[in-house]
Amino acid sequence: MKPINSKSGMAIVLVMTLTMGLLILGSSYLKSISQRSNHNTIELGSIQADLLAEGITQIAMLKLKELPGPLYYAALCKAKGNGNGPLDTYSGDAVLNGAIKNEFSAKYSTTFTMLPSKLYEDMNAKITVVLNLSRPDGRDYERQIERTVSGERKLSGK
Amino acid sequence: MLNINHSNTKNREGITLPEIIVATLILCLAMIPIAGLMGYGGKATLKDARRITAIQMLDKTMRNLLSEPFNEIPRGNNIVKSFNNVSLGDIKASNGVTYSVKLTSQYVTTNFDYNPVNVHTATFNETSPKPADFGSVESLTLTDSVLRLSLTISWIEEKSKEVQVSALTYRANFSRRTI
Repeated sequence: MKPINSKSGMAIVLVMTLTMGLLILGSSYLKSISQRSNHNTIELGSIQADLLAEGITQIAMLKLKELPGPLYYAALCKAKGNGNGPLDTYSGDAVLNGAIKNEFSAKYSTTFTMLPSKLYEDMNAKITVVLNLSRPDGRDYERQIERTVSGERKLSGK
Repeated sequence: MLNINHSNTKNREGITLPEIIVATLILCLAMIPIAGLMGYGGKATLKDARRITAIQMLDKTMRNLLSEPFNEIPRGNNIVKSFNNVSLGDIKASNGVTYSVKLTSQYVTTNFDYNPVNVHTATFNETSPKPADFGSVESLTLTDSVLRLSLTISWIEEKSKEVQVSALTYRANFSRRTI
C-alpha cells in the first residue's frame, strides 16, 4: 500500500483559498455597484426638493407683490401684541401650505415675517418655505428656503 | 567528480501533475463568474452614467425655465419645441444617448387669502392696528399668474426598456400688473 504524504493535495487547498478570496472580492464589488445606484436616486430627490421649494417661494413672492399692505398691518398687529389672526390668515393659504402626491410625496409650509425697518418708509419681509419630500424608495429630503424682499412704501399720489 | 544519485530524485516530494491539472481546472471554473461580474460592473457603470446625464439635463432645463420671461414660456402638454435657452425634444448627449425632453406647462389657479384693513376709520392707529381694524377674510384669485411646470426626460436602456426621470416646479408672473 502506498503511504499517504502530509503534503499531497496542498495545491488544491491553496487554489480553493484563492478562489474564496476572489469570490469575496467579487461580492463586495457587487455591493459597491448597488450602493452607487442608490446614490443616483439621492441626487434626483435632492434636485426635486430644491426645484419644488423654489417654485413655492415664487408663489409666496407673488402674493407679497400683489398684497403687501395686508401683510404690513397684519405683522404690525402681531408685533404690538394685538393678535395673530390677520397674519395667520395671510400665511395660511392652501397653495402655500399643502401637499403634493406625484411620483414622490411632498409637504410644504410657508411663513411671512416682517423684519425691523424704518416704519412707514421701508418694508422688509422674509419668506420662509420649508419642504419635506419623500421618494418611493423611502428616502426623505428637507429643504428650507429663506428669501428677503425689500420694498419702499409710497402713498398713492405722493 | 559530479555524482548524481537517481534513486534520491525519485523520492523527492512535490506537486504532482494531476494536482496541478485539478487546481487549474478549479481556478478556471471560478474565473467564469468573476469575469461575468466584471462585465456586469461595466454595464452598471454605463447605466449610471446615462441616468446621471439625464438628471443633470433635467436640472439645467428646469433652472433655465425658471429664469425665462414668464410670457415666453409655452403652455400645453408634452411640448417638444425648443425656445430661447430651453432645449426640448430629442437631444443627443455627449455619451451618444438620445434623450427625449418633454415639458408640460399649465396655469394654476391661486387663491390668496387676506384680511383687508380699513385705514379710513377715526379709531385706526397706523402704528398699532387692532384686530377690529381688519375686515373678514377676502380672497384674491389669479388664474393666469402661476404656471405648473413638469419636465420629463426619457431614454432607451438595453432591451428597448424606456426609463424616465421627471421634476416639478412653479413659475410666477412677476411682471403682472398689480391691482
